[in-house]
Amino acid sequence: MPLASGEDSPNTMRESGFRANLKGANLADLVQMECLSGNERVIRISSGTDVGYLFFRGGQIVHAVARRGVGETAALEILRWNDGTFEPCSAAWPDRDSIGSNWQNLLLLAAQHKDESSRRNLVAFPGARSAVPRPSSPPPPVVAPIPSSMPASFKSEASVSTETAAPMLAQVRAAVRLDQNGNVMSAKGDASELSQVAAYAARLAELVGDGLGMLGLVSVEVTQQRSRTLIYKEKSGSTFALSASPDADLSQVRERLGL
Amino acid sequence: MTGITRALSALRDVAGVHGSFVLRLSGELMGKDLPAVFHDELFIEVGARLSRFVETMAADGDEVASALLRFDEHRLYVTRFDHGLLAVITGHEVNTAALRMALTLTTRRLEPELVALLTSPPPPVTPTPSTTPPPVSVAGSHGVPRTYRGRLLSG
Repeated sequence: MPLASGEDSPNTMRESGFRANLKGANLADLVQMECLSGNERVIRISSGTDVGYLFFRGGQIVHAVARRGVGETAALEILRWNDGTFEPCSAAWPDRDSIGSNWQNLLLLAAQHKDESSRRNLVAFPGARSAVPRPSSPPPPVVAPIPSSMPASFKSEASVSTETAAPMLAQVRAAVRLDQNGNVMSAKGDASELSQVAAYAARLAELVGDGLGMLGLVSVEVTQQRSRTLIYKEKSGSTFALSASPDADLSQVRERLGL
Repeated sequence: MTGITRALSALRDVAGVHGSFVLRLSGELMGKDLPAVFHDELFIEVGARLSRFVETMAADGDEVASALLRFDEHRLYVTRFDHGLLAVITGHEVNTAALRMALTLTTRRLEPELVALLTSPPPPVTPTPSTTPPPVSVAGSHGVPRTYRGRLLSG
């Protein structure tokens, strides 16, 4: 049940464990720590007047409750908070898990949302150049923002927030995320052809693997004459694909995806 | 052991390589160095799909040079060369630098083998006895009188 700002969950009790102040630290550290431990635990996180709960089990975030709702939406809301405190608690577990994405994806997505919200805060003064140089040609059409699995470094130029991400941006031409039925959930750049190619190629790769007794397709990486393509199968069944220039260094992406 | 199999077997020198096979660009199996459980019939579908996979990735005219398919416990490295596709099955623990070098050498050795196979003349066709009776010759055959408008011709 969504929580009102500052409202405490009625079904929670404080559990033994350390309480911590997160100022200056990152909630991602907490998530990584909890997921690596693999423990079944509920963590109550407070930030100002907001309160949220993250439910960890089997090395994943399986459920979340926050002001705006439950599931992935709530997890992302919590993961965007910049400071606050957390403590273990005994909250009622749901009958069914509400989050299917793995924790790495959630962290990446939260990072992207943070970047995008900081971009919205940028104001370009009339007649002045914006803070980030714009390409001379119009940007490719954006179908929808990439909500998940999109490494933080794959933002449009206007949303670049880290220097380390900058070299990567120019190399990614298009990215797309498809659901199990091949529907475009989100896309960036001109991803119409990429979505078809990725969907079919991933299926063929799965079948090739099946034929050879190799199960569980994780990813496909193709080096072409004029581009490089990476297709990643998420555990939820969604497919994430990106197309980059042939000299693109995808090591950062591989690392983020755990490849 | 054929030249193709010999060339493929060299890939096993790289730790982590389980085996390999080579296909024509159209997907037909040309040779393999794999345990017997991977029988040839298996590659009718696998070859066709891998060929379609490469074709799909090159749909916009951007030819595929190589591909890496990662699975839960295995990897499949695919290298495209002029006349075929070389595919190598490995575990996750493989020395990729060594494998890359081995792939370069192997494709170099495979190329002439495949060209020879593709350009060699078809084997000579041995005449097979016909089951149909030879056509009956009408005019001029020995023992058959020649006629013109119903009249018997002499000589």
